[in-house]
Amino acid sequence: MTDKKININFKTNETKYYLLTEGSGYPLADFTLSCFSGNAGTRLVIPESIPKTSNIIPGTDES
Amino acid sequence: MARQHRIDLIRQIAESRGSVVLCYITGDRENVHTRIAPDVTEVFYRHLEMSGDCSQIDLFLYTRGGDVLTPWRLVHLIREYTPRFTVIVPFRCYSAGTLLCLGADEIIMGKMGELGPIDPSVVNAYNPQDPNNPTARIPVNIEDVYSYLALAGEKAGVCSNDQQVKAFTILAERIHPLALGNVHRNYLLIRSLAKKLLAMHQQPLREGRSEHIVDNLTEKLYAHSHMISRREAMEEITLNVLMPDEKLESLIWALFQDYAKEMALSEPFNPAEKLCGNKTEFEVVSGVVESLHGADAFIFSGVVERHDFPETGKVNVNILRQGWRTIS
Repeated sequence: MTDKKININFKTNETKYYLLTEGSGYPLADFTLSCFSGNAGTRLVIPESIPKTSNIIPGTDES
Repeated sequence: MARQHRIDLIRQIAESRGSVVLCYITGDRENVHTRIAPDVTEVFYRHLEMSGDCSQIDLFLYTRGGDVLTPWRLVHLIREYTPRFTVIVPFRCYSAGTLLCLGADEIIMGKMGELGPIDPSVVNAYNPQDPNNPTARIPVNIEDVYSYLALAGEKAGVCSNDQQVKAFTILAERIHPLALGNVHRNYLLIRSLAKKLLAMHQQPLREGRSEHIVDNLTEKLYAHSHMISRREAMEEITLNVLMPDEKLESLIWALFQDYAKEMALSEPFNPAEKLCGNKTEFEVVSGVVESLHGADAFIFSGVVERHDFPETGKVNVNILRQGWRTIS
């Protein structure tokens, strides 16, 4: 057992934005994506909700 | 990747099934997702050519979905090499993955196997803007649109022509007519594809069963995130589901766990962790097609750099290349 404190935030609807491409790759839209041509306005960025039970941050003092 | 270990598992599954086993994983690791998409067709072709014609092909599939037209192409391609086609579902096999299963003569689902509805959300440049991020478009679920019209008719008593026009006008004021056109086209497309895939079975389904399956997978599950267990798939949706014996079940799960561990599917990809100094190149595998004859990986390649951002610890991540690469 360790005595590390953990934070648990019950996030149920964390949204991230991904770039929808024509191929298999589907990366986070926050990245710089210089492998794709065209400006950002023409790309399709879509939200994706990632349901999580908890967000565990080891080694923090808050409880 | 621990290919040698997986070869051993793939060989054992192939021997117990008397089949050629092809594995296809689209990674759902946070920040570097992959999806079913047309660029995988050529990768499948390479593996199928290496395996040659055979009496049965088992596709080991883990995916959260993707392009709805690709399963149609993949099933046709696989059936060029075999009269009998099976999908093995170790865990998640949603949306376009479930559509692919419809083209299989049987679906082997382990205890953790999950299918999903085939009610896609569609997105194009005319979709509504996300109020929280104006650069993003909100996908529109095709069943939501038809459900709204059904709600108007059944619950709100919209029955006259004028009332129907008004209900549709309200919808068209909020969703661009071209986005609605896209919704309707996909509404028809998904049903047509599903029926055509079911018609590809070695043994034709009896009359009415195909419609029952398609209706259940499209509009009767009521939630896109509904997870369909193997019992529901078999008993209620009446899909050709087989339950593996204990030995096969453990082989299937061990193979999936090997992929999940190797691709770190449960851990978000954090490029900052890769940074040594001010600039580091990285590669991350987020998709795999593998058989006894070889392995292909979908690889994101990029550079992570530390700049003098106002926020401490912030980094810039530049994806320079992404694509399928033969690794074995």
